[in-house]
Amino acid sequence: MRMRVLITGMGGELGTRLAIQLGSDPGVEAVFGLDIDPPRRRHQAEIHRVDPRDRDRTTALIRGFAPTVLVHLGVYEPYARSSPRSAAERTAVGTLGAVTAAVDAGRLDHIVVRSGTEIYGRRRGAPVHPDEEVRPDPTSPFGRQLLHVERVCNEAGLHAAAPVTSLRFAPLVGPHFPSPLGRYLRMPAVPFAGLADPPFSVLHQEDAAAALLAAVRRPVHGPVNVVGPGAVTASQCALLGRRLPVPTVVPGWTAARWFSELAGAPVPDHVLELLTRGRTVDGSRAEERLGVHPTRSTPSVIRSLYAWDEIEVVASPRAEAA
Amino acid sequence: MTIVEADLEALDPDFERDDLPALVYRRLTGRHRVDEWGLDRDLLAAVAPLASLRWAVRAEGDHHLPEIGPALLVHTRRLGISEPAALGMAVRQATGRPLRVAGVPSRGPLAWTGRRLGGVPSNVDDLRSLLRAGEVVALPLGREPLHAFHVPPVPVPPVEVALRLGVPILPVAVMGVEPARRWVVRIGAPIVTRRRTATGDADELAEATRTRLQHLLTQARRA
Repeated sequence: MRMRVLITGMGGELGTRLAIQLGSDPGVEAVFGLDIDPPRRRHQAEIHRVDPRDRDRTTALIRGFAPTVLVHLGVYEPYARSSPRSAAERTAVGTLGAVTAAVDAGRLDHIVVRSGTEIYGRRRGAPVHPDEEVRPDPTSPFGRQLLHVERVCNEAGLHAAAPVTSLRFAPLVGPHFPSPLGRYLRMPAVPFAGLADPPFSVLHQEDAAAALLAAVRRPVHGPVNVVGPGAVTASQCALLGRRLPVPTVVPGWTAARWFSELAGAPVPDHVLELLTRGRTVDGSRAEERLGVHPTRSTPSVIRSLYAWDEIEVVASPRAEAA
Repeated sequence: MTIVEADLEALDPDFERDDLPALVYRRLTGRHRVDEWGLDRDLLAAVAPLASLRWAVRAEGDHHLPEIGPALLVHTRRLGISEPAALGMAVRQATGRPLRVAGVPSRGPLAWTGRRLGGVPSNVDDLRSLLRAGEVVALPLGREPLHAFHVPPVPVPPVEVALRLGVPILPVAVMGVEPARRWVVRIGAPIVTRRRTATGDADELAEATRTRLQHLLTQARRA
């Protein structure tokens, strides 16, 4: 049976990439998307602009489509595309609405959900490099948001007797990708934890999209960590990008966050946690479970962040002809 | 098109230089490598000559140490200050590999230094991820400041992890007195875990490791 794929959060970078790739897949009958933002590039899939908080409209659209695969990317990171409050509302209400409607439509075979490594938290005594066997214990608002999303999806999977693949992505960073961590690291001066400077790992958007595509094609049940190999520290990032690393200790972070916000790169709690306590995870099982392995290492993703070319405006052929 | 620069030594370790100018250059340009658990190989390379000024280590049975692949080294300690360094030096001299020592504090300046030099907090989950990544991990037993030739019980959860992953366990007796410079590291033959599968085997294996360690210490005492 050919798949009918519903992508929530299709307007984002990952949703757009996935829609383009699934559009040419012979195993896919139709791709249907919902998001508050328009897609970042043109594609053939049908997308409806709807606020995730508008539950009635979301439900009507999803029931009308009756998906067999739900790819839930409607997980909004604070300060990526929305404020922390709006991100939390959109994520919580949107998840409940989309997942319930998809189950009620009665044809659901598989759920793929975008989660994140923030779900493990960095409590005292927590493992520094957790794998999927470690019980989630989030210590930031975004981490708790992700745990809520996973729980809702797992419950829906039980009702629909469908496997749920939770892709726990490392912080997504890359050129043209809206990310609070990416913006922070691109500031002219980068405050870092002067006493610890812990390592963290990131993931490139192309590798994240490849993992999503693999998860749609190969239903596996349970969480899978997806992370770029290797790690970097914040001071190392600053040096790689020829920025000024500024050692900061605990009281200084308030000022650092304030200046960072003033410079257009607000630092949400989960990014501060990453900078002060580190965040790496064991992603070695992604290959055996999904058959994909992130090709870009963490240092190379960071380098690509700084090698981000300026936008070049190219005249369209029609304009040139005129 | 954007071309992302990559270091040649990151692609081919044969190009990596460990002399002082190379270490300083990598440090100033952010090209030094820090792994997922926090180990800074350049810092370890810089500290190693200083460590050999403080400790003189004689390793016995170092041919048992694996050149590649994971291993769990279960070792004795008295106060636990010099033992990790002495064992780390023995492993580095024999195989050139860094030793990952379980049991560094999880917070504070000691945690930072410890993790940069290869330590990890004492956590079974971290032990599992290290062994899965093919690292050589040191598991210190309880402190025995007064009874140098007594081996305390071997904790079962780390042994269970090694058993599940099929990682060999090496009993290691680390012998020396705290202010002294000379230390002896006696490494026993590996206890193979691959063929053991029953869940009850973990307790038995922990006890077998303790017995082997006791035997190593007794031999050392007679010698």
